[in-house]
Amino acid sequence: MEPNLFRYIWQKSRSEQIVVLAIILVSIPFNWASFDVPKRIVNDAIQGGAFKGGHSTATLMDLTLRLPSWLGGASARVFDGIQVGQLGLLIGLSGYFLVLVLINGGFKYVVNVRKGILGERMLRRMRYDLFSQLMRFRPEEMRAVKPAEIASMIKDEVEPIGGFVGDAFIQPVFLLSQALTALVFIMAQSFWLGSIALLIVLAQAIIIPILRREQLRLGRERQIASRQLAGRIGEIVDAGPMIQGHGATAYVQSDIAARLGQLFDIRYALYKRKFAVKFLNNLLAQITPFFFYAIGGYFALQGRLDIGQLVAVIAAYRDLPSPIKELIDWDQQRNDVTIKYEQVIAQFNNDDTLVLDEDKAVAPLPPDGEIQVESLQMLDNRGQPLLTPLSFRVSRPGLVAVIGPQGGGKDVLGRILGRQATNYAGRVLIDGEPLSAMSVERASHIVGYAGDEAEIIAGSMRDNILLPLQRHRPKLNGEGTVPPGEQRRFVEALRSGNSPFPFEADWTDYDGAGLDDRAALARRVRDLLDVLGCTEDIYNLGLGGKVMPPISEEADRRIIAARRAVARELARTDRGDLVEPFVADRYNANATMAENLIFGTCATSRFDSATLYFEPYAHAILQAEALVEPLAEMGRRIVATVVEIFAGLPTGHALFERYSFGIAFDFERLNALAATLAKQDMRAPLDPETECDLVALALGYIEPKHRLNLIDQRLQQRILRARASFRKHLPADAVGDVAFYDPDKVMFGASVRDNLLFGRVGYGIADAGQKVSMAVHEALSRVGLEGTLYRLGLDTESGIRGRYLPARLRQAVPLMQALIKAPQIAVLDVGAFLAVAEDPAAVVARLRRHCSGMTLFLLMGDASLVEDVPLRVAFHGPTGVVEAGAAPPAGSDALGQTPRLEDAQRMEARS
Amino acid sequence: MTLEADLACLSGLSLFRDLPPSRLKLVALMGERLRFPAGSVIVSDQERLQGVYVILQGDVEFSQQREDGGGRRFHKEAGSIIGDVSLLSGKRFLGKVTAGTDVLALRIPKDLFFELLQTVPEFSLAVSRDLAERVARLANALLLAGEEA
Repeated sequence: MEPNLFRYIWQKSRSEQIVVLAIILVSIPFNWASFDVPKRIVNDAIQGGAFKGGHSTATLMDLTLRLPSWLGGASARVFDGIQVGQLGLLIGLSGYFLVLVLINGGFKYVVNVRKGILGERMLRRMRYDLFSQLMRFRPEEMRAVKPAEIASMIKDEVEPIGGFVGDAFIQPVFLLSQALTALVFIMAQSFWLGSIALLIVLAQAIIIPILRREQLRLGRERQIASRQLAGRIGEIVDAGPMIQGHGATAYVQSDIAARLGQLFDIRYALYKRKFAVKFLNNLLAQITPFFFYAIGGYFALQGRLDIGQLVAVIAAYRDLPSPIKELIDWDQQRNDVTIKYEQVIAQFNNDDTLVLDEDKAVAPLPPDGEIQVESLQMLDNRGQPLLTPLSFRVSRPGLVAVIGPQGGGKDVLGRILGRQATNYAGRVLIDGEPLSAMSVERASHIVGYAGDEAEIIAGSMRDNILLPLQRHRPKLNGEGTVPPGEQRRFVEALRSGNSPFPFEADWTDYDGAGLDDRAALARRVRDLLDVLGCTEDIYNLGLGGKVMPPISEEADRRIIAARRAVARELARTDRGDLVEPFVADRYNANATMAENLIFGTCATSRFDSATLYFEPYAHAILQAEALVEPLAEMGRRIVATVVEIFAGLPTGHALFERYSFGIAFDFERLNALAATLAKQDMRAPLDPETECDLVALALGYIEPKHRLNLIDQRLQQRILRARASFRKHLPADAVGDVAFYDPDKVMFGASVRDNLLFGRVGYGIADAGQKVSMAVHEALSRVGLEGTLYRLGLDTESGIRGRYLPARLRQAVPLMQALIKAPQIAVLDVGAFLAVAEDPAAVVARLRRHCSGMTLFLLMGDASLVEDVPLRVAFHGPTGVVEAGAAPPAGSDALGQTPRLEDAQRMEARS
Repeated sequence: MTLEADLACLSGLSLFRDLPPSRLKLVALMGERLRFPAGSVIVSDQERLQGVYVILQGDVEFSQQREDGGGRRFHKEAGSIIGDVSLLSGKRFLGKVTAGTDVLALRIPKDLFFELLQTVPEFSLAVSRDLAERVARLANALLLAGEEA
């Protein structure tokens, strides 16, 4: 980017600036006229100067066009004017003055609006240019910058620069024109007064900038401190949970306080200086009228100056200080903004940037060839080796297994091959062409890299997976009519040098990835999911999605139809015991007591079991059925059991999870409850808090899960009766809090799975979860809704860094991103994915089959999965050893048989 | 079947003879009680187990098919634990386990099993003792087989 601000501005906005300058030039005569008229009003009209010599009328608005003498001096009378009396002259001239005021105001308006728009366009262009420059950084540099600092620079620091652009050339011209007009006018009236004004102006122009130099220095300091504050806050937020967990928040807060204090000091000094200078400036400006009145009045008394002139001079002088002040301010702003600009550009101007685009379309590599790695090595910033010199050759297509622990040379090699590290010595040649010389576009077409870190951006899973294909610029000349808003957006984008391609259009590069259309793309996504074994996960993701209002009628019908299909499927395979459905007058043994009581989904926390005891309506229902006592007793037994079986065990573990009664009751709380109960005098009634807790515990009880044999027929009957009366007498204000279970209605706020099952999965059946999933899957495919579920799953929001996705899918996304574009060279770090895969060996086999036409670099930690790969690079730390040929068979096989003699001889021969 | 009945079963097993009642209750509550009718497969060949099975009642048959046609089978009675070797070594289960008679088993899922081992010393002692007994029996059987060959 251009380092000189003024040259940048002139280059990019030349034509617009000239137009505005022209407007200003045109407005100057009008400005002059508005100074002249008051003089005429006072002298000619009020004092009657035009009527001297016995004239009773004067001409108004006579218009003569005169050519200057050096062109011939001809004149032509255009309008003879009208004859008016004194009053008429006064009114006429005043009216003329008013018109001039309006015209000058109009000019000011037009100029300001144009300046503003000019500035906004420039700001947009500047931000876009900075961002584009950022996209050209080398990967290492991009990682080295703090995101918050960059955001602060692009968003906040360039803001004043944009505001200045409109004023850069125009303002000085405008202001100078105004000031000069006024000054020359004053000079024309009286030389002495004019020179006094000139002197004072010069004094201002010289002294003030000198005093303001300090302000500039402070401004520079402030900019840097502000930016660093933003960066530090970004860093802290990034590591926030870790800092919280270690209790270092007070420490970190004091760091921020120190920085804010530093900023405050700078700003305080700035303010003091600014207002001091303002005061001085004003003082100088206010002194001049004193001279005018004194000296000008003296001249008037002497007759060397007439009253009208004096009045006009004083009126004109009113218009002098402000342009001067604004000119000085402009100079200050100019210095300030130039410094800001230089600071920002320095961060973005890099000598070493990547070439982004190809000039022509990317040509694919020929089907055969060779990849040569020659003496590839990399050092870290202290000169320690990250990768010791490594050389090998791979013929294309081919397969290389790169094995090693995480964080060692394997990761470095992967990053180099995937063009995420560019700071290495040695060469990687693809068919003789160095990898480092390729443009980003070409490399991204040819190489698909999946590293060990999954970088997921916010958006649905589908958005993330399809991101690598969003590289085909959409066609701009659309057929048919273009909507008017679109036209304007397009033109405006071009004027600010921004990308005119609409973001919402289809950027998918079907051709480059070897696809025909959307259907082919969907098939490829499906295939990749199958290869990685993640299809079930997508379905589960879809099943887990919550159904929130509003939904379309179509979706409503589909869900109910699917619900019925699932029930049919469960009946068909005679697995009715897997899911206990919600039936209106039956107690659901696999649901909690609270669920059995309320028998509906709760939209709010009004009927939470933790506080149900205190909810007046629920309490009334419980009282009516005399349920409070038995529930409290149940709670007591539960507390006793839990405390007994977990006595002496360390807290917070999976065992406790298995036997939990809800998140409100952690082990400490239960221990505290047990202690309270132990101290309790049996005869005295329980205090409400304790009773509430006991009832809440009982409400979370499920007989098949907790197995304390606490629910009998009678209790069930009472709960059922309470359920009926809860529903019947529900107060009007609670209608929005509960949606009762209805087999023909969708349950809002519950997951798709819950909606489809419409019941609870039975406890005590082996692999019930899996069997239910299979049944649901089967049912949905029978009804033709499998595709909908799959789409639902893919449309799930991933969350920042993919936190809403299960681990397996999170690790699968980079692999899918690398493979969806059908690269010719795939560099895949599958270690993290295999760690969470169900059957790693099968995944590796499927991957190898899928990538058989490509050159595949498989990076992993477990060597046993790739024993049969002919070319292996094994890393111990930064050193890689290239092993060619099949691995020797293991010393002893899994069944404990000793190695045979022939095997041992074979191993000898090879080494 | 109530918890008390299960506890009675468990306390009768030699595997858990040294477990105090509160820990027995814990084990009983952590597990899922499953019924397998006679002849049904409890664990299939080469399966990656997700939990261990403690046989509370009934007999199971352990069978292993080999490619050359020969196979081995032997019985295990109530009180044995199946799958602990596979879970602890990380390898697949060798062979197949079918229910000889109607079997009542307690299945403890993998994560809960490991947590029990780590946090309840009496439990891990019981499992270790059981493994030791089986290794001793195996060594004995090998020595006998070596002598006969």
